Amino acid sequence: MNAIVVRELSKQFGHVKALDDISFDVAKGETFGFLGPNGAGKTTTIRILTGISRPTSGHATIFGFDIERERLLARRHLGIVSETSNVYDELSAWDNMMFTAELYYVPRAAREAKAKELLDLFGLYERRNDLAHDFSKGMKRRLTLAMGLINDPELVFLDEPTSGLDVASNLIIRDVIGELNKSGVTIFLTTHNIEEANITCDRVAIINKGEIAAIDSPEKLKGTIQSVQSVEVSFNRPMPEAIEALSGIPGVNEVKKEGDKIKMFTGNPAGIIPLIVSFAEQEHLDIVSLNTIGPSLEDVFIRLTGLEGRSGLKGVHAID
Amino acid sequence: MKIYYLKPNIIVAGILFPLFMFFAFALGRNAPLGSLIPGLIGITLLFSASSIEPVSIPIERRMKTFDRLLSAPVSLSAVVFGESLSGFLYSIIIAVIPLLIGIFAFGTIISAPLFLIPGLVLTAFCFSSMGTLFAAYPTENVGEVMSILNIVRLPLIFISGVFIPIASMPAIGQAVAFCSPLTYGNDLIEGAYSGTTMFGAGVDYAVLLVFIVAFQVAGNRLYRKFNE
Repeated sequence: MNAIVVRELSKQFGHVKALDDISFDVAKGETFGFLGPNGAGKTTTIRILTGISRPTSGHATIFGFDIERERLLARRHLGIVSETSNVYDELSAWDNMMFTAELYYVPRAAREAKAKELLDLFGLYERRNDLAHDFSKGMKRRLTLAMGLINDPELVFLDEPTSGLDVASNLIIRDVIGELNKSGVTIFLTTHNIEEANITCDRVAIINKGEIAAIDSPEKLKGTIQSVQSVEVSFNRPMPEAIEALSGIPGVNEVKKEGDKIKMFTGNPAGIIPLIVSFAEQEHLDIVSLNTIGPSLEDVFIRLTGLEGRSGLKGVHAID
Repeated sequence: MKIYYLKPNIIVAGILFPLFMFFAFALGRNAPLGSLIPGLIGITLLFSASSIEPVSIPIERRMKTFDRLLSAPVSLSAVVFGESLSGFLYSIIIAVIPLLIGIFAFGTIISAPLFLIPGLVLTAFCFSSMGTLFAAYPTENVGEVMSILNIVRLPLIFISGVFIPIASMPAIGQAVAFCSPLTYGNDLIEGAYSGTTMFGAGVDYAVLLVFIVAFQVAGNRLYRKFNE
């Protein structure tokens, strides 16, 4: 049985179609990434799957429980970590945990042991009696995540879990996500951090304008745009004319300066490397580094969501 | 509950406002203060019970903690009922204050305690349900809900026989009074002091129950509609 089954789910807000007949499955134990630009329908999907909002048409199940007809049974399996750190500021970290545990019918003895374990895991146990109001952004985020796990959920919805956090909180949260996945918990992750999805998710769905543009593993998605490859070179000294000169190399579609590096988009990396080396020799430049770079998940995202026009990443667009 | 009971807008709307109204009426009528205690209890119930959710729910929407309740394995009707309970408990606690002031400061005597207890309970729950219903208005701004609510609850003070007896009202005023839940709550509380009620305790209980059910059902529908 799949953890999540979504079939032809639509959501209409007045004249706006927020979701347009989307369908996908998430297997048990899978880490599933849900990527899309703002307004693409990510939060609407999560709100429907967690029972906060209702679909206009279509249906979905969580561990076989219909989200409309068996809403409360479906919710018992869930942990939800929303994009906003929605903790009760006027309550202590401990009271926040206890309140959430009561909402999820966690027995008293179990809830205290679980709260201690989670607060410890997230580095908050020493501050358990402090009001959440006095916590930093990262601490509130960790507390939100701890609250989302208090009921030992089989499926966790993580909405932008590491957005805008300090490095320490980021690392703790990523470690916990990894541990959860190892223990068989299904994870539904929405994130703007494409690299995070790339290294965390088994599969990724890219949603745009309410429609699923693609669903596959990150590597397979990258494979769909193998033409988006580049060679990145760094010389021992700056040479402003290099960009124009390298643009003239046959097979180079676009040249961009990125810090002390020059990036050349091409469909044939191996073919242009000798020409770059020749150019360096002619100009008496030493090559500090030379790398070939395959398409990133971000390239796939940009291509599928049509963001290249606004971002100025013409290289991606041109090579396609 | 412990988060919201001491919020300034709840203290002002739920405690201070009824007190100011009481003194305004007492000074205006030059009547013995003790005789106005039932009225003070009535408006205290109205304002304290109906003030909690219009403050707490918009704040919870803003903090996104309301989503936490809506996504928990708890039915929407349980959430609406639970929200109403918090206003109810607050109101009962606050209403005990004028009750005790009446007894100890003015020597008022409760002739019919059997009217008083159900009167307090039903009236408090009726107005907390009303507050919960108004708080369904989908805003994160407390002031917006309070403004709409005050359009309804302020006139209730004048048309429900709290300080102005229904018998002395013109016919149209009496007709309007019958539509106010405070009329029936006040009838029971007045009856607890005088020993008799205008409509009969059974009618008062029944009408208050009807209002409670109506507010709860309407509240459920509105929360469902606005969360779609």
